[in-house]
Amino acid sequence: MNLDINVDYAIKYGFKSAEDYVFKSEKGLTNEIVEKISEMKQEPQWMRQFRLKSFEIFKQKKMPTWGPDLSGIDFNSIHYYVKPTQQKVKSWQELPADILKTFEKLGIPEAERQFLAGVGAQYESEVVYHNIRKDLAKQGVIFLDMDSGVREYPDIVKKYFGTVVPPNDNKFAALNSAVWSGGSFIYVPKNVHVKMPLQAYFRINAANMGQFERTLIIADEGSFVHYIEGCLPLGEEVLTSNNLIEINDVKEGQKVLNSNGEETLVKKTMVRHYKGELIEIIPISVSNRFYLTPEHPVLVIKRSKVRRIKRKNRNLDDVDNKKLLDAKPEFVEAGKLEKGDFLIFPISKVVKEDESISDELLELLGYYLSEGFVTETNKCDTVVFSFNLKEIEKINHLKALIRKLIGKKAGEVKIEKKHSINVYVYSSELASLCEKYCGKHSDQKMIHESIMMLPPERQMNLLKTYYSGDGSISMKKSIKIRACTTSKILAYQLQQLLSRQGIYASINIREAFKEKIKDGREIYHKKRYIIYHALNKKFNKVKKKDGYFLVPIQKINKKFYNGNVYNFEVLNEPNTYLVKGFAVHNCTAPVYNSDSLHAAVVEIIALPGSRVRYTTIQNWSSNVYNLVTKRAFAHQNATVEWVDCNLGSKVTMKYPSIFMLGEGARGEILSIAFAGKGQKQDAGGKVVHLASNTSSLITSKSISKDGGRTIYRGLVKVAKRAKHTKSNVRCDALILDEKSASDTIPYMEINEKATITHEATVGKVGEEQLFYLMSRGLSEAEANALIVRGFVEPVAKELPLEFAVELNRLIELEMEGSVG
Amino acid sequence: MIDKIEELSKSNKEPLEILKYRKESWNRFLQTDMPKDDEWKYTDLSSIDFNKISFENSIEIKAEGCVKKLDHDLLAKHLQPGKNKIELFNDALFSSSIIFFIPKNANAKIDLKITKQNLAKIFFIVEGNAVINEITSTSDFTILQTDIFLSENASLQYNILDNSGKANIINEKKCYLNAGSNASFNFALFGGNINRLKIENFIKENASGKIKGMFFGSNNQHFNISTSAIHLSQSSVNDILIKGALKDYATSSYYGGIEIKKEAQKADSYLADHVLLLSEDAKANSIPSLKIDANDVRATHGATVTELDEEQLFYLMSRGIERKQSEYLVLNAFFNETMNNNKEIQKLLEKKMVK
Repeated sequence: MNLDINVDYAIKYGFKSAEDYVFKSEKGLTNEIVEKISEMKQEPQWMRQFRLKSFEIFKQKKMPTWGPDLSGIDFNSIHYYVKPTQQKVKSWQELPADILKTFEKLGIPEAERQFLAGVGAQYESEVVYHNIRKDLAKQGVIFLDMDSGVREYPDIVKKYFGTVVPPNDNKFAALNSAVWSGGSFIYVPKNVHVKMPLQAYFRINAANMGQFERTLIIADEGSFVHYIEGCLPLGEEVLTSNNLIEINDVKEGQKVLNSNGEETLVKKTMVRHYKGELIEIIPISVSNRFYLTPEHPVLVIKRSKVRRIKRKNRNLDDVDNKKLLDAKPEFVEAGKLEKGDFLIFPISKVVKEDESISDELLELLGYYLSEGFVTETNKCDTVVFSFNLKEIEKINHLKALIRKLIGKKAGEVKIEKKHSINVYVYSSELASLCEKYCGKHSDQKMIHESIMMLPPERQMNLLKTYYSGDGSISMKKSIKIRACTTSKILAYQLQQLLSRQGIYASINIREAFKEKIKDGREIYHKKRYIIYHALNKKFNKVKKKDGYFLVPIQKINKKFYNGNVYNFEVLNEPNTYLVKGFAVHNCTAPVYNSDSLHAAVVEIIALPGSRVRYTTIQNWSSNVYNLVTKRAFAHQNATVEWVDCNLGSKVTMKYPSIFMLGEGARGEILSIAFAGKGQKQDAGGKVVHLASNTSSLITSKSISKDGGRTIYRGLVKVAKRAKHTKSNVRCDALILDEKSASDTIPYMEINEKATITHEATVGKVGEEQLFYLMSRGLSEAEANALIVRGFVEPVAKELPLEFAVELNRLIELEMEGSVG
Repeated sequence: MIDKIEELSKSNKEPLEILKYRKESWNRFLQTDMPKDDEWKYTDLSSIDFNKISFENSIEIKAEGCVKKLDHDLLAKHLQPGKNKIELFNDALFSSSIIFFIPKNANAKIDLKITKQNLAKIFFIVEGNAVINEITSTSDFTILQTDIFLSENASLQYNILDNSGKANIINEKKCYLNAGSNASFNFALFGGNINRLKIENFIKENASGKIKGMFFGSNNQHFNISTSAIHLSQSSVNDILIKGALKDYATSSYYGGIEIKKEAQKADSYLADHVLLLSEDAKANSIPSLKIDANDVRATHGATVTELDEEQLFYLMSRGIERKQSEYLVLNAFFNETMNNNKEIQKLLEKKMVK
């Protein structure tokens, strides 16, 4: 992954443009925005009314006065998630160090990561979706995203939507009701048992997923369904991280170039969780593709504004060249870009002369980049250049350069078999020069910063000799000049260097492959980057203008993503930076940007005799306020089970509840909370017994560590005339170090004869247990992890296998270094 | 009312400082609403009438082995501003204020009888050993606030027996346990309309606070019991056991807080709360809460709300014991732990059970 950090180097060149805040005026959640959401979703009138009514309630409702501190939530900045035309965090950056480390420590090696990505990709593809859906549809099961549910099954949805969690339940339920988007809609017909769990991966496939998803599950009489939510976010992040391999890892205080090359510092980097659509923009030069969230503004010239003729069918409109060259680039949201629009590829104007680098050295380095390598022979650093037998002119040139630079005479070895001549020189001076300025191994070659900033005419020395080596010319329709390298960084650097020469070069990738040679020996070709450009081309799609190229978009793809998105703010004007060389806007709302809000609503209706199980593994990144309202109605003899694992987020407030409306209903809540550094896990469960002979069981296991705080907040309520009810609550908390804390706040409201028990313990890992395990040869850390795993076992065993495995891994990970 | 406060203060010959405290409390009282927090959320306070109040000093005291004094300066030192409307009311208008001082090595025995309406503030400064018996049998609105300061290694046993008539009783105890001291509260509550008992123990190192109590409610009675154990420093011990039974329309609200501060490593805290519902209309609410900031502790609570075990009753009845008597026997066994073989309590229980 280190590779990618270097890529951004070639990318961060500034671009000047006027401040153009089209988005500023749309701040704040308003009726119009709520209506617009409804309109975009083409919802029926009743849903629109529902949203607007909910919005009114949202405005009136007060924030909860109890529980964790929620003052970090600024509703005026959170509406971005709802309304994509808002200006927000935008750049896809690489995974941050801590998440990356998580993967490494999870023991997912690169190969497995790719495998997992594959798995994830499968989940994301339509095929899997349809396969399972067919399977379910045969049984009459409806399983859709909530938006489609509203459109396709208005009767059922209208009957149940908002009946379990009405908008006036709490402020966040009201907010969700007003702006909800996505989520699942499940209807299981009478007596149908859905044997396989339904997984929330589907939900991610649904269009326009926001942070406010809404799930409605209706289990008709005698049916059974198991729904798994949230899936394994780690896996998903891996999945996308692999796609985002080109994305940069920018650090605060890092220098980036901008505004015609003035160096500026990255003021602030921002991370937020994002779940939803991601725009992939592919310009001419496929490997310069980049990913953005739909609302991220990109500097472009819209083709529609500079067209000469409007074409029908699929053809792109013809462009009026004069108009195009006169047009002023503007910011357009990534989601609104179309094929054919012109991206801005600025040409770096940073020039910093470095006298210590002579023209001769540049020429030599050009040879080195294309043909050279450093090795050690007889304990002497040796620089070797390999040429074809015919390239005598170049060999002589190189020898002259070497003599001039270091005063040594280079030797020659002919290798007839390969038709090549190796020019070698024993010189640690030259070896270190080459390594310093150009890197060592062929796939890690890169050009030193000081060379990248030299005046273009000087850089030409390097390009000339480089192209004489690795370059080739094809003369089909036009003169195409190509160069080929296995170093990704070098490819992008060459693109930059060429742009300074006034040439827009494309980069294509040829994947690694094995070639069979006749004697059966296999030759392995590494992944190669081909940089090519055409000369004297009659119709060049890419136009050059003062200071930048206009590069048309070849293709736009959309994909779904659930994970962190990154953006950074630069110190000086203009507020732009470059992604893969293309200009995009930087972020403008820094204050609360780093915290995001996830306020989902889940409603379950378990009709007589049915059974619904809902499993969640929540592992949000540590900047998410996770405020979820989950409630189920259990009718006669129905069973509802919540299995809830809260591992991530900054603050979680989540109390899955079960209202037992019919006789003989049963409810079970299993909850695990793990609070690490800076986290507050305010979780628990509520059971309300409204009918006779109902029973409930709540088991809560919480672990706090590194200053985290777990809070169990629960309610057991037995209503009048709900006779012979039974409820058992057991909450155990483990505090692993002195900094951490745990609260238990159970409410018991018993209004009828009943058998209600509640038990809670708080403590640390037992000394005796530790001693016993350690006496058996386990290290303290291992023993601790083992005990914690045993502690959560009653809940973990209820999880599907892969989730249990994941949970154990996560616990092990969280436990690492817990013993001090 | 301000006139009355002035009059009261004058007749008690209080210094200005206390008058000022009373007046401030009164002003805050007027601005404050009835409490609604977790301790009070299940209690209907509408029957509390702050207007029906007289200002007699009517505590019967029988004290041995201690010094009883009314030192206004000392009193002023210990007055703390109230936290809710009811406390503020007493702050402004308390008519009895007594300070008991139990010197080192003394073995004091103090009997307090509250038979009439009362607004009282009582202080115990215990350096030796003290046994206090507090018996309430009032039939009018009574507020009793007691602050107890235990010096190092002091010990206290505080027994509370309540058999009041239909009166609203607010009885609040605050007990500060210094290192090595121990306090043991026993209570048995039978009477009252709204009967509120709060015991708060602030426990320092190696000190131990114990609360063992019971309540039995009938008719429309409401018990509001609150016990708090706040562990302030190392190796502090807390043990709470509350048992209650409710019949007819009686209701209860129990708030049991355990709070362990960061400094209180190795604290040991236990709380159990068991309520029996004897009728369909009885209601029990319970909030046993834990707030733990230290890690090397043992903090456990258990709470149950159940009905009488039919199998046990069946067994007794199969032996020829009538149902009523069987119920009493089972109940008696249930309460056994908390009655300390106190004949008087047993008698009251029987009387109330059979009634």
